[in-house]
Amino acid sequence: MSAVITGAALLTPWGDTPAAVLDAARNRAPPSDDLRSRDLRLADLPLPPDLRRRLDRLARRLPWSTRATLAVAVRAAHAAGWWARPPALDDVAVLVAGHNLRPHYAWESWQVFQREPDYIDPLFAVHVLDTDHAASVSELLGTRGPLGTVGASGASGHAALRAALDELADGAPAAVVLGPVMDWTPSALPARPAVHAAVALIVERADAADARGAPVLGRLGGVELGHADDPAAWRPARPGGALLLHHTLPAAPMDAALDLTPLGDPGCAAGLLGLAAALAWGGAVTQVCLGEDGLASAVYLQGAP
Amino acid sequence: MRPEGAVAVTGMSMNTPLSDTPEGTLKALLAGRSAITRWRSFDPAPGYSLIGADLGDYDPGPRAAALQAALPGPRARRLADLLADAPHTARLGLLLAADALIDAGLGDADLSGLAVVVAGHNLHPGRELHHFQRAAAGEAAPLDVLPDSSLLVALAALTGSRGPLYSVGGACASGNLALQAARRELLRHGARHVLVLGAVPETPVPMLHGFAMLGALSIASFNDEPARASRPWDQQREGFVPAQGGAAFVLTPDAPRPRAWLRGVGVCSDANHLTAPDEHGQARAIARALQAGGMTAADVDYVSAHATSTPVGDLVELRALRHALGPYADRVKINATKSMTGHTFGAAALVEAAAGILQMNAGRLHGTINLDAPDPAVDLDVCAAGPVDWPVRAFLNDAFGFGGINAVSLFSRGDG
Repeated sequence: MSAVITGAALLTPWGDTPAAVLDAARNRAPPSDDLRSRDLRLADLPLPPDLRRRLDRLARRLPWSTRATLAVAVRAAHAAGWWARPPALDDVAVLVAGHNLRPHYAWESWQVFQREPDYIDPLFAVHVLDTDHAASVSELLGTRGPLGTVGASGASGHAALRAALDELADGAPAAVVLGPVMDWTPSALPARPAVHAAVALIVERADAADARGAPVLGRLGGVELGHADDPAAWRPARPGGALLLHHTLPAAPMDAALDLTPLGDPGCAAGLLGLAAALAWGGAVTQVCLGEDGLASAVYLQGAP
Repeated sequence: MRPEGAVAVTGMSMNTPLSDTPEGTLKALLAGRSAITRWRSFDPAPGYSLIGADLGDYDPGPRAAALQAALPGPRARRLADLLADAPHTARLGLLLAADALIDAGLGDADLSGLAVVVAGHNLHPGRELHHFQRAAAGEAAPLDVLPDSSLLVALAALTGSRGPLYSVGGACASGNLALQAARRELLRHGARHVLVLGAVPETPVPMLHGFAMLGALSIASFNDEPARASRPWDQQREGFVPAQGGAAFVLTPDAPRPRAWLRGVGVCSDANHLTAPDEHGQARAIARALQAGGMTAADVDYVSAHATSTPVGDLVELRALRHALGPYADRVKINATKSMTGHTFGAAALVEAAAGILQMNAGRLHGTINLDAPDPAVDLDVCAAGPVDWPVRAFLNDAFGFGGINAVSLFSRGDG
């Protein structure tokens, strides 16, 4: 089974294209803004009317971080040409990278609960679930295939991508793979500089993408997940091409063509943000995420030359 | 002989207020005991949820001592060290993991090739709440911002795993998603063993209150009779009863006489992020599970229902079973383990898979308790009359989550 990436969309403080992220990493550019001020209505996109209605309806009641996820999901599906030639939506999977994605929303809700318990968001119990990202995207795009979240700390993006490849191997024509913003709270920031970034990738079986004439941004050669007591000693099993590294270790543990670490810590979106940069790099790339907690992962990509 | 596409269940553990062993749990289920009480281990005010299945006052000491005695020295010491530092529910998760590994005969095995899959996400909302409280009080409150991954790392430290470690979340269907991931690790990714943990959920008051505000909980009629509150398919059902409980499994590609075979898992969604169960989506997940397992409706003798005791969901599930099983729906027996355990959230599908395997192997099904006056729309056999001897070749284990997530696992006898 051969898998390709047919759509990519980002929401980052450096710009919203893979090339902008790559440039930021190369130039060690500081984030230019926070994402909370961004307009997520997608007024610039020519969306099908029913999808536009669903987007507007969902946007009225969803937390900010989920709306950010919807925005990148729609842009990625748009880039993949879904409106004119959709894949078989009944079998399309939606997979979210991450766990504990809701600290800010939970923090705000807790503060309301302290003052007046009955005034919390009536849908708090639904929205506080990480799966609300995946379920909202499923509702918006009309997909009815498998759906869920996959969490492995900083390796979550790659783990979700691996789950997507499993879904394709089991018959799904395509998967929407999402790296939501972490929605940090001021009191729960990681030790490293935190950034908000959201990423969406459309991953398709090559034959399905070919059948509907979809654009191909890169070919996925596989994903590797592992764990090591000494993460600095972990190495991908079959490195090839340029190595793009994103780590949370005190020092870079291996020679890399590009170290994405100065971008900061986007939490569970790290792996997908790195993969987006790899798409802009082009050619054969091994993109690695290493966490201080020992969770490690690699993605093998053949990007456009 | 291993059925095609099946993987072997070689180890299993459970912990609910009914018992901290599988055999003890089966005994309690067959006796019709309820785990539901008033919340004991915390003050539920100002929330509306006053009752649930409470493991907050469970003493892990005796079980820990028994498990440590069954482990080799270094692993027993690692378990002791990890238990000393872990929050309460993580302790219970570690004990479940150790228990299942010992049950699988892997207590002293090299587990570097082990994959670990944890069912659920946001497993520690209580820790998060504690962090919020300290931060609001102006105290320095360092939080490892991904507490779910801290559980994964603790499991890696216990086992020495070098393989994939991750959590999968699908709300209340998470357990079946974890079983699907485990099957893929074994059949596609070459894992020698997979540990699947349905971690015991924390139930902080704001979270329970959120479910109450959604209208999903039983909060009105049974606060003085908690054992009667979880009553799937009964006319007086008014919502699910939250519960603490967990289970763990060890699966391998093959085994001479496993506890059961996991034949397949079917997953799909309803394109609806809210709480509106859909019989067609649920039927599709059942059909996918049968297809993945290479079986048909005629092979199924029993269904462990999701059946949370909600007015809408319980009947939708029965209609889905009728759609998916056709005429065979009238020949299967269906029961609701949650009538006794309550709803253990992301762990539910694993708790109920374990209960299903125990019943299948015993040839005896527990009753659905509190079914005093069945809903007139109930037209299938939901074990209202109590426990019954019933030979089971294979069973379906339903799990349906908020956000329109439908996941069904299919098991058959290990000696079949």
